[in-house]
Amino acid sequence: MVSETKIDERSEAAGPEIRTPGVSTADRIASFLKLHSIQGSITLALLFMVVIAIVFMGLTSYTVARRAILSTAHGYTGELITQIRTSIDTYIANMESIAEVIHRDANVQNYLRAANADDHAESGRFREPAASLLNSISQTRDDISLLMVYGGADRVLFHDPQMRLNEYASITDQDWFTAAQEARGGAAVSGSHVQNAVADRYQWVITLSREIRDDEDNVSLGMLLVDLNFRVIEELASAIELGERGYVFIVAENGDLVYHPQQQLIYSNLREERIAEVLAAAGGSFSADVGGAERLYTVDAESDTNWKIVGVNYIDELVLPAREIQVYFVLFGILCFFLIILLSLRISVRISKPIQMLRESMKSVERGDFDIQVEVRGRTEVADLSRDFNIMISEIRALMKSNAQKQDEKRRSELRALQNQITPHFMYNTLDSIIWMAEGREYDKVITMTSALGRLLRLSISHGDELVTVANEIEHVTNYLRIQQMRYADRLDYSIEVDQEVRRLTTLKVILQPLVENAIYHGLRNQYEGGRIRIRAYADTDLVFTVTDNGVGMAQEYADALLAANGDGRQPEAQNGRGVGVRNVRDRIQLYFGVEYGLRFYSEPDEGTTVEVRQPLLHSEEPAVRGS
Amino acid sequence: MHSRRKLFRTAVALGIAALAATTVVLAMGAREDGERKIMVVLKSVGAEDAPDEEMEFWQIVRHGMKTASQEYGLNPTIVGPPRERDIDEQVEIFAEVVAQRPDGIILAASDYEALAPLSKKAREKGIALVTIDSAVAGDAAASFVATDNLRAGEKAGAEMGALVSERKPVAIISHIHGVATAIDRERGVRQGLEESGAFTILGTFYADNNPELAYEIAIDLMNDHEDLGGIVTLNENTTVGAGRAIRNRGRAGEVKLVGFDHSKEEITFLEQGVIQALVVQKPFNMGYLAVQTLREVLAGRRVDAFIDTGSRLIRKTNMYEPQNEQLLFPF
Repeated sequence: MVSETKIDERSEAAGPEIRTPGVSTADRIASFLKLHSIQGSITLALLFMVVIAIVFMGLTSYTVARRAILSTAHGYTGELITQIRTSIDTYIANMESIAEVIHRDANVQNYLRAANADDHAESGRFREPAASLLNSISQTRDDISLLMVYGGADRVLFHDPQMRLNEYASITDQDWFTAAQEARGGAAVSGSHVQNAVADRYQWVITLSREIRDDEDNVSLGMLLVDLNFRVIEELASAIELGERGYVFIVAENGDLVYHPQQQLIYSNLREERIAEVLAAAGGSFSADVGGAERLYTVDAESDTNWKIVGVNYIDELVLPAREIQVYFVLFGILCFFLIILLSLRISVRISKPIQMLRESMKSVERGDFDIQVEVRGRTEVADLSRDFNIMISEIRALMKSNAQKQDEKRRSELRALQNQITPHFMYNTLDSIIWMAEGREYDKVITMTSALGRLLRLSISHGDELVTVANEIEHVTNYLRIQQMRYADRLDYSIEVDQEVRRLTTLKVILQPLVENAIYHGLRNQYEGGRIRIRAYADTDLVFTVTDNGVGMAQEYADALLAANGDGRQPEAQNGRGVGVRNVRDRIQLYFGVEYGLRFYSEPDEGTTVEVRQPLLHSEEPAVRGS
Repeated sequence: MHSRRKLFRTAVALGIAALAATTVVLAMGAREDGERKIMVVLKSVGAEDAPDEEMEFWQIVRHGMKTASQEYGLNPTIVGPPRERDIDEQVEIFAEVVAQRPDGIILAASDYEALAPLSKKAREKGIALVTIDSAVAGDAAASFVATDNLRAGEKAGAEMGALVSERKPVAIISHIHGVATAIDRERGVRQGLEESGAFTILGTFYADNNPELAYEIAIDLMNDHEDLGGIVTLNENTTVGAGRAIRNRGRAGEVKLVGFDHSKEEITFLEQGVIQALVVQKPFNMGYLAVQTLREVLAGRRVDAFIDTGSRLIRKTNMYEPQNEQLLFPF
């Protein structure tokens, strides 16, 4: 057996893509991506796991990193603002000690006492040393912008003798003045403000003010003022960098801003600041959404000044590293995506490819190709399966081979049997004729007939071959006709026309004789006029023999019915056994050459019958083979 | 084989798409943070011989710009002539800036007409332009960020109206003829007075931005009109001149003075009661809002054609309130 169908792998692979109506889109995509295959399942499973892992890690990493970053930022900002607070406290403590020194100074006390008593001589005596104390203190401190002792509009001491009191500023109405009065001998520290006590001089300061009380009787002698240049605080706070946009601000307990880099914007309501929340916070940190940006407020409330120092961080700036981590996770995820695709391809090569090969082999077997050997090597289960498959296939092949042999033998024996049917039938008739001739003492005829019979038999035997040349077959039928002519005593006339080119062709043997026999017995025997048989041999697309008689003929339907017992081996109710030999011939031709060859009858009642035999054009050298 | 290749191709395509998307997002994020090139052309960046107040005003504008730039992660380059009066030099500088094709320009025009052609050119080049303090002719600027001088004038006029009786005449001393800011302020003053009552306005007198001329005008006014109720002066030099005249004539408080700006001398006059009220601008806000507005323009958002940075009327009684202190005495 030979492989009849070549398996088209492309059309096979394209198979799953066929769009069937009523199939859901998901299924279509799945089949397109081969998601139902082993490879697809592996890929999907791995991808699913990685996506879950990446999403989970991305989310948690951001949350955890954000928390850690904010906590760090809080700690870091806390440290920075603690430094500011410590510096401010140091400045304030310095101012306090300066105030204490001035307060305790005997010259200052004596000056004020005398001045208050309008003792000009006495006050004049103490004025100079008291003023020089202020001057010498201010010399040592750059950050102190003003030292002033105020006993009244005409009894004022400045650290700089050039300074004059601003006559238009009502000193006793100033906040720092009233605050010190309320403090009753204690120090009052103001917020940031412009000092206008000195004529033509306006400076931003922090004021520490304190009543000067008499050492002896604790009576208020006047007011002491120590101004810290506010620039010191401003530089301190503005130098702190909290990211790109973060800043530090200082707010007094009453809500006044001591320092804020965007103070003017806040006053103009162009910027919002969470002052109320900062004042409510006892320290620590909180985050708030201000003007669309989330900010982290870190509050230090430990200051001696009752100021709150606040560090403000922009959270989006802080969590940038957390965002970066997220980005890395996404990139990592994409990398994993590629790796999984490659990995699944690798795995599919190891697992699903042998299965696919096995499957394709099975498909070939389904189509009838049993000459297949699956080459799957290795120790996987699929390799075992392939080996078993190969064993199964070879067993099937052996079975089929023996089956074919049996079929062949059966056919041959049938053929032989059919061929053999001819001989006894004819032999009986011929020998019967010879007996009649011998009885009639027609010895010449007996000799002729007997020699014709001998030739006929020799040709029939013909080395046991089933194929003979057309010439041989014609000779065979000629001998037969000669015998029959003698038997029918010239009531039978015949002619044989053979085209020269067909003589060398090959034909199945003993084909014409049964047809002629049929023509004589059933077409001519009952006729009293002379019967005539015409045999022709020629070639068109096939090798054609025709046997024509001028006998009784028959209806065409009847002629067709003669051959109707087509191949099932059962004969129809053939009249007087007519058709047995004809069907024999047909069956033999068809067994040998195939059903496209065989016989055809053309007949008309009272006109005669023509049988046409068709066989393939075979030259004697060519083997006439159908099947193996 | 065929469909596996397809699967592989699909996967690769998806992967590349994801990668590209991530890159684009990251790149856009970086862009958002602003590698925008912004240039600022001021009227004056200071010189040895420049008036202190002029320098101070622009310094505060710059401080506002710096604050906004820091907040928005921008890094503007600030240029300008040494003095406000160097108009030709500013035109030259502006031409250079436009030639550099920054993403955006903030311009304080020294001259309404002189900088108009270049502004138009800048707009044609696709440069976002925001003007501050003083506008340029034409519609090249996406927005004009400045003090609403009409409203500022109105405040001064209304204050004068509240200070003097309707029976007394008042006068206006303007620093310059035909300049938009001065015209707006004067119109505002007149409107403010009108709304306060039926005042006799003696007229608007021009002092050519000279304190001595303003002084003489004020002296003349006091001489000519015994019952002069008050003077509204429209800038620092006229205010100082008029203040000196009133002080020297010993008529502080009698002849009311409402002026503009906040030089040290003016503040002293305010404290002394020579000046009853000063209208001050907010240069910090001007600088800040200019940068903020330009950023909005660059981000493709709509902005108002005019943004008022505000002004404030300050009296002696409230001059040391925190809100006013910073305007009068900037650090």
